[in-house]
Amino acid sequence: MQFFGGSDISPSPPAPTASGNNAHMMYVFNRNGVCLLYREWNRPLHTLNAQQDHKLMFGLLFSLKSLTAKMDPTSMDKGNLGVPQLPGQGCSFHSFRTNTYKLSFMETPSGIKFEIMQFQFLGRGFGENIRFVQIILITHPKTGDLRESLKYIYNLYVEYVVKNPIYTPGAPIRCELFNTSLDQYVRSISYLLFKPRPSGTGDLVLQKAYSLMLISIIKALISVSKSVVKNLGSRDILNII
Amino acid sequence: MAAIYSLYIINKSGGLIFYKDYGSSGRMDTNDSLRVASLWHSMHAISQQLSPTVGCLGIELLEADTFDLHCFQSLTGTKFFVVCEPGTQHMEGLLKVIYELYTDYVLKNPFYEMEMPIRCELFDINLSQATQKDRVALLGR
Repeated sequence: MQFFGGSDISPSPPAPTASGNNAHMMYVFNRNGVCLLYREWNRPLHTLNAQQDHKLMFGLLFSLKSLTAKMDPTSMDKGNLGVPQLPGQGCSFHSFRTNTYKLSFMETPSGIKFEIMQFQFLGRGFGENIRFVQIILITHPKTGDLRESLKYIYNLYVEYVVKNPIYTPGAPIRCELFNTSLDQYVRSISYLLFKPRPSGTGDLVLQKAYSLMLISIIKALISVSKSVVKNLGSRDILNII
Repeated sequence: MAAIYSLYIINKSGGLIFYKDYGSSGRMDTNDSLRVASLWHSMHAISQQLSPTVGCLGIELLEADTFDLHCFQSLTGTKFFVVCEPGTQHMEGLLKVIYELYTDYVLKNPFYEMEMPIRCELFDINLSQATQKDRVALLGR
């Protein structure tokens, strides 16, 4: 059973064709700000050491969330700035863009009731909120909307990490299967990143091409039939006479 | 229906020097707007440190659930940002226009002190004209 719609992961994501250098790196944080996973595909610049980098990233996201919760122009009663909020509560954000990168962010709602049932079943500690994670993907700034991709990555996490019996909650993820499938998936999306999101426009182009083709075929048919009629007119009709 | 919710201008040290609200529900009080502005200033700076490549100039667009935030930083470090409805177009153009108005009616005003809150009547008048919906739509041409 999964949180997001799709009942199971499609057995094989599309095969990687291009080298994935449009995705820069990815972070997975748990609720306490522990970096469960850090993957790096293309990062020429390191300004800080790894631990400080993770702390800064978590801090940035935390503050941006309280900023957006406070700024929310549609709700009347917002708490004070910096009031701790439950996941899924208050206005959050899903991405930001600078001139050199785009950061896409996803946070899973907690669903505490469900957790307790599940972990009783698995024989793990109560209320260990293993499913609550934040997934951060950093890509090229021209990238489109990645919310669906992050959901897919979350599904990978549930399949390969949450359901892994030897994984201890809260520890960094050392799961070979998860890493390889993640790498494969990110590589497979990285050549799609520059294409616009699937919409009607592609179909329109195709329709236009088809109609142009049809018109040219009809024209050719008409000219052929005309010439046949002409030939008939000149020779065969004489013969008939 | 307002396409633009609010406009902020912050000076190079993160102090709010101009704030205008265009009809968002739950308007922020002065203290909150000051806090939010200085918070944005620091978030903008931190985002530069986390860049995977060199030459990062900070956040240009923040997409939240209920609004978009477009930010423009001038060469001297003054930041202009608008909070608008998700998916509003031509906001970069609008920010450039506001920057132009700022240079014309604020910086060229002999009574204006640098880095201090903006109180210029001409700036207000021209700004309200520039942020009118039909004017913003024209920026796309």
